[in-house]
Amino acid sequence: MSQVKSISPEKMSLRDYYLTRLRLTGRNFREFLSKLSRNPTAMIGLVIILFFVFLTIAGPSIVPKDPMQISLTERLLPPFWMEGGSTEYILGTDQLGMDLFSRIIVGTRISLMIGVLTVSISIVIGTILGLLAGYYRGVLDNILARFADLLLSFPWLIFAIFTMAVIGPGFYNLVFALTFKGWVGFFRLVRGEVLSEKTKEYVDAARALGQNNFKIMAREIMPNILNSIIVLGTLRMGFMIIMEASLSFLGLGIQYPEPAWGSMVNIGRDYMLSAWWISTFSGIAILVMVLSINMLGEGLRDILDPRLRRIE
Amino acid sequence: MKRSIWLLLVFSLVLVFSFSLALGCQPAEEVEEPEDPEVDDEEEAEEEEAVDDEYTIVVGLSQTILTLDPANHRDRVTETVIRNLYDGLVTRTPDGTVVPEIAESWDNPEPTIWEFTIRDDVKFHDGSDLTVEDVKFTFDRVIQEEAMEGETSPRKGLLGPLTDVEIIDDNTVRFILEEPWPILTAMLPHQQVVSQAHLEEVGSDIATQPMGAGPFKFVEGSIDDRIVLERFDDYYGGSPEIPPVGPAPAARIIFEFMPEVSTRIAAIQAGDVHIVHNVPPDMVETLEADPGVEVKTVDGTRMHMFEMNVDRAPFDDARVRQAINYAIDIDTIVDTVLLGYGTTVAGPLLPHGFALHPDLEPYGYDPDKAVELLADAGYEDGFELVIDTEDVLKDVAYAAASMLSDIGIEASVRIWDWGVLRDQLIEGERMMNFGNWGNSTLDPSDLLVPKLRSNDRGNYSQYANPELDELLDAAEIAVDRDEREELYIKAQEIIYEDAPWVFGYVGLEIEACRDDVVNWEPSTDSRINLHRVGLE
Repeated sequence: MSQVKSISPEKMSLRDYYLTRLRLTGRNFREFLSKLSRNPTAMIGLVIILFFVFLTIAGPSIVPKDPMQISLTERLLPPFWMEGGSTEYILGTDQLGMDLFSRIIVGTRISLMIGVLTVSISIVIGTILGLLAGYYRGVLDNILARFADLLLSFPWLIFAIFTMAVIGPGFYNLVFALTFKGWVGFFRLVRGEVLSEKTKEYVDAARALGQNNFKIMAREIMPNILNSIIVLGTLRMGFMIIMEASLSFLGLGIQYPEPAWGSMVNIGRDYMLSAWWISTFSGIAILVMVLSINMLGEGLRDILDPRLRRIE
Repeated sequence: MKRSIWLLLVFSLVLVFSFSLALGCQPAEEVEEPEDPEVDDEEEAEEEEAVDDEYTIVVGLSQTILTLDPANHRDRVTETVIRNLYDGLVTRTPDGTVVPEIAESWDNPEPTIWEFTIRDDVKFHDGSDLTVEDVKFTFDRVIQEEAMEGETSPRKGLLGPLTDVEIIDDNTVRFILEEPWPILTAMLPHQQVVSQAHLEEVGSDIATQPMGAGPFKFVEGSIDDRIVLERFDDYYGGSPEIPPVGPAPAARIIFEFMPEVSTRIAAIQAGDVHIVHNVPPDMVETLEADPGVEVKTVDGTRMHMFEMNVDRAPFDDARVRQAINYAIDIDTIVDTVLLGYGTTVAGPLLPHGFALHPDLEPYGYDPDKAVELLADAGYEDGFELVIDTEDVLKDVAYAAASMLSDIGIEASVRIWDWGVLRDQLIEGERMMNFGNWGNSTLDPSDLLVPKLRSNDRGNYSQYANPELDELLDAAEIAVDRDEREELYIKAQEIIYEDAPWVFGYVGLEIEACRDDVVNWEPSTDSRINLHRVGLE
């Protein structure tokens, strides 16, 4: 981040500042990419995620069947390689004759969107509040930090179950329930970083140069804590996807017959002995997605985390 | 760090694939390994020897129970456990005939007066004699307001117009009714006699300290864990109409609660339990392929139907309700979702019950006619509809929703917790409910009256028709069997035409036992009577 300080921020508008920074970032980005390509864990994770992103965008138009088409005469068909299965239903059907393969592909969308939405909203709220609380301290910090502690004192799943039970199931309610507690992680991270960053010389220097508080927060402190936020955000995304699956599994998240992986695992539970494929393949889908996100997250931490870099 | 992730990945995939392979190959393996049940037999034989040829029967129930107080529940599974601890005045044979139990005989001198003669050899589990005072106390506790430690029994409704119980002599009690009620004895198996002395001692703790006059006495356990019962050696023998009479052959009974279908099925296949109930049709094939397990079915008594709220548009129009009847293909649902383990009903009554209309035919599947009727009623563009149901019934509801969307009705399904949904149904706040109603007496009275009489306790379709009310009220007090039958047949015609329900189906009760269980048959009222049941 030493490049950042080489710009003279006081002479530029915020826009020019970020444009300049972007150019520097371009250089950084190439460096980042070359590091990433040398990290196989992160690369595999990234490739799988890109594949899932592709499925999210193209999914509904490439699936062989309507994922919500009920056909009672074709219920509980096994995957095509088993006796009684057909290539029409590659991974078999569920108890209402819906095509499992199509449902898993379209289900990517819900999992990934929940992950991206909850994490981005959490980042925005957590970062803004964390910056304000860490920078200004005082009453605001006290209130926010105590509120965050309060939320942290509830176990995740129990808190989410409670929230969903109160507001009812549904996609946006799910996003709300998960971000309601999700922002706290980012708040605490940003607040902590700000507390340590704002005592450093470059902040004093900026203040001596007459920067106002907003500019100091946006131009000086933010760029220095962005990496930590990205790493936490990636890791948190996997967690959020698991939370969505857990809630849907418990019948509180996305409702069957909407194709959400968690609820598909749940539906298959009753048929585990006679039609193992319903739960198994939906479960594998969750496993692969969360694993790939976590692999990317681990890789990003290796590359981006300033603390780890210092150790190297 | 990186290596550990790789290991994790490889390990999980190996785990998942071996798991799916193992499950995928299961049926083939079973056929090749006939030794399994023999091993079980040997193990059981050893156990039997250890306890002096006495054995334990384990029953896997599909839900936890609510209480052990016979007067404080409205739940069939709870009743199943309770009726092995307590006996009633009368009981039913597995096919539903009412036979004497604690009552030796009864008489109906006037339409509103019934007299029961009580056996004099009945003992409670604590050794005391069961007397007419206990019988009077039992029924007073149910029918009087706030007689149950300040609360009114939820089973009061099951005794209809019973207002008073009088003691005539040491062996006779007289039941006095407000109006004639021919189905009294058919309803009495649902009431179990308690000991007055015991209740006065423990009060509401009877929920955890049950003491009755049934074939088994309570040993230990709790309503959310397991219940262990032991043979009552001084048992009077039970109904003479259901031989063999005498103390139960089984020394010990254990009720295990297994809400997961897979757990129940796996447990009976492994021989961990001897009897399970609520077997889903999809599992029958698996169980029948297992040489150690026998699957048994009996006609159920639960009427499944879609109740349409006739107070709300568009269901305030009978043509729309008929259209829905034509649009939902019940036969296909029975053949596919229930795999044929059910019977489509034509009207509102059970096919094997009393007073079934002989000429009613099911509406049948006719989407064209449904579209036509909808157009007649002014709904050619369809409408939006939410079908409410409980989790265990959801598959049928989804199937129906997809059939309704075929004729342009935007139907979706909402799954509820029963307690929450029930209140809203009573208030008439919902559009359409897919549910069921037990009719174990096989008499139209305890189905049509609660479900379709104006403002009655289970009238979720908010149906109110003075003409029907009149017929139902007349049938309630009619003593002559033919006259009642005629009234109910007229009632069925009205209900059929007006169609406040989509007439659905009656499922078969599917239960299973190990092949060494003897003398056990599933009952139409889905209770599990273990008095006669033994092991070979």
